[in-house]
Amino acid sequence: MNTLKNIIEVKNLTFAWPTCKPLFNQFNLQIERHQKTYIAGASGSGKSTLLNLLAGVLDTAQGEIWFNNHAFHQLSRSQKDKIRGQEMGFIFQQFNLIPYLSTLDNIILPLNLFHSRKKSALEQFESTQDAAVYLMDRLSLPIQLLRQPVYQLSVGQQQRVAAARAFIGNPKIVIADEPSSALDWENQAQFLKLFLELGQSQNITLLLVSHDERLAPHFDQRINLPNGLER
Amino acid sequence: MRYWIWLALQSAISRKGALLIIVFSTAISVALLLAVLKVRDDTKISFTNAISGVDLIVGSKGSPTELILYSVFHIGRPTSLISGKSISEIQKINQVKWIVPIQLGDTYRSYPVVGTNAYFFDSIKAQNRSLTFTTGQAFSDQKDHELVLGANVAKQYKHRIADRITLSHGTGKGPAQDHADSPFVITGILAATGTPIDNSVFISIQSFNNLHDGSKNLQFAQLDSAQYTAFFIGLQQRSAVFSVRRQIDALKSFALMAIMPGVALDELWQTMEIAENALILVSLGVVLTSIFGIISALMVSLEARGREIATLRAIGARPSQIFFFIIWETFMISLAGIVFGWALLQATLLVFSDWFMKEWGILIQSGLPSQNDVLAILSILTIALLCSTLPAIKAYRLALHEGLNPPSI
Amino acid sequence: MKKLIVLGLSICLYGFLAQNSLAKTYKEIFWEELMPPDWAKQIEKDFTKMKQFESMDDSDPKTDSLYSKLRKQWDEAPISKKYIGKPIRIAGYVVPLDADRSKIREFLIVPYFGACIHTPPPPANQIILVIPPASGLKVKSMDPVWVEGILTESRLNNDMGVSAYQLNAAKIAPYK
Repeated sequence: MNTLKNIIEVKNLTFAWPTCKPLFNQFNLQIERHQKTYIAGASGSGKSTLLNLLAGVLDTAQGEIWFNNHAFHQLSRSQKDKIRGQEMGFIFQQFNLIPYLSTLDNIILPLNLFHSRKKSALEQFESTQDAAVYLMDRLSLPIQLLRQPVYQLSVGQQQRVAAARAFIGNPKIVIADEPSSALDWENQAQFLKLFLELGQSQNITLLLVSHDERLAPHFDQRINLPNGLER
Repeated sequence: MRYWIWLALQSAISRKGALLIIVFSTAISVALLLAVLKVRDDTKISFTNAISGVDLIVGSKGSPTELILYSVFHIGRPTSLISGKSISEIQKINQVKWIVPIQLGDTYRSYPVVGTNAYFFDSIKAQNRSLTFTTGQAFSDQKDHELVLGANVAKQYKHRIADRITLSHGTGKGPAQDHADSPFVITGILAATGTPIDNSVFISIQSFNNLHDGSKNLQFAQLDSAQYTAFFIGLQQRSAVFSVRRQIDALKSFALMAIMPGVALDELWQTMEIAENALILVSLGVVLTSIFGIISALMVSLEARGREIATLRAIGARPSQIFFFIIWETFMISLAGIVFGWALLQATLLVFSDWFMKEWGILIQSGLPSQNDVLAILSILTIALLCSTLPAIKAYRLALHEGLNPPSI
Repeated sequence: MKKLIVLGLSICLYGFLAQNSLAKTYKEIFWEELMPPDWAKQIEKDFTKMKQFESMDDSDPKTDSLYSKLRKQWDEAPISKKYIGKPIRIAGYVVPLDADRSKIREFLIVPYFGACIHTPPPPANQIILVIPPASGLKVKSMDPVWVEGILTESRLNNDMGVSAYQLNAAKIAPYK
């Protein structure tokens, strides 16, 4: 129970949707800092529920959820919202972006909402724009796209913009839910490569949820749902 | 919060194509409401001060409201005239101090011409003050073709003493009906009074009758053989007004009606207020309908914005922040409609102000929003704000319950 | 000697103050008090006579002439001198005179509602001409108001000797 080592700890979580069978029964989970973890989950296995719980969007019924030493099971919703905004990044399967904003505005969105995250970015860069441009470069996004409305970008480009937004401002963890499923095979490979590289160089914990087994070997740790930890 | 306002603005702007028609319809309805309010305010000003010092107005039997409208405000026309023979009968009534006859029907460049005697200028008051001349004096009852101008008429056409002008009969339809052979000379110009007197042109009874029937060539003494639109009567004691009215009614052979100007004006206002309030209610209803249009458009758009809300939630936005985000967005769209509406009204007024003055004699001007305008706009904005809680609550619920994986995907 | 002077002065002062305060105190009066008692009695007698003709037809010329006679009597009703020159306070309904919607327009007050519209006007001694003060209240037809002021008599300088009530109002207030 070394909380400093694990960025996420789930203990004895029991959760059921109303009128359904329990999804999680005495469920346990540990995720080490700076590690890359793969969570295998087919639909219906409870992966979206788990993600919502870890993100602090869903309240626990029984058990403990620890994120970065914060006791999520005891915090209020708005406290969890704040922690999520300051310390987490998310990438979803598709439609990650705000369609009426430009690439730049989408990427720096988290910085505009949370002062501490902006401060963290400005420790490394002159301006929030510089921080965004750096990530665009790392994700092989052409600089011309900076001020373009995001709906004009290709699907592959949009996903990389979403990734930039997840990574900007040094979050503690980036959680990706089927991030490349909507992409074609070439884009999938490229996306994964960039995702892993960024996590590595920024020293950010990565958590990927997917049903695509081909991705699993790239990760340090594997968790099966709903059965729990499996090494 | 400032960032959320900016975000709401970006969202609103991005929808301009889809919402253009609804914003435009809101603009039209707001322009309509503001126009109705403006007409009400401006007509009220025109109908606030008319004449004072007159105790009774006598006309042919009919509607008291019509009598005060045409005899004092020169709006409309009497259906029949009253006989000058009744003047001597009325003068016999003990409490009657003076009687000033009035004739209407001619115009000078769409301003009404009033036939009366010179005593008008001594006995009639405006806002409790006697009439004064800025230059010159009243016309002489003995002479023909002399004329006195009200302040606005003189100002509009830059007339001065001793200028000569031509009058036209009735409809003002142009040279065919003009009395081109009988120009009038201006003997006096009245000081401004803030009443319909400023927009009137005064000539003697003799001149008025000679204009229409040159053959008769009436002299002053023959007042009683002419026909009149109305009489203005002043009494020895104002409280005798009921008694004198009864006595005039009793002159059965002349079919006269005597009204009290103050009471008639108040009744006119009451009627106007009922009509205006009805108009305002209807216009308000139309504005509400437009705002409901905006609300429903946003409610529909929210159906497809689940993913956008989930994205914001993932970035750490609280449901309450999303609530206010939608409030701001709805509010801004409504505000756009309202501002366009006001601008639309100003543009229309700029174009049509002159026509309105000519047709109705009422001055309606464009300009900065009046106090009533601001009140109306604030009320509409408040209603829009209240209504915008509907889509905001829907967004709040979506934010709260759908988490990071809304079913729309 | 000094004591007497002081006493005398204080009596004068008291009397002066008392008079002034009396002048500022407006006595509330009722409309009936504005009718001379003997005239009021006569009218009552006439009314009882009228009751005999209640069953009469409206179109009958006799009704007409009787009605006119009554109206004429009312128009010539004499005023009572009881409150002339005194500060009074009375409530009534406004009958505006001038076609002027400002707070300075003169008006009549009468005892009952609808005096010029629905019902016959009151007798001459139940009508008061009110001259409003400069800071008057904006009133309109049939508004109920309180008026305060010194009641005066306006008299015609002719052989008829007709008098009417007039009030230069110090204050006009809405009747609640």
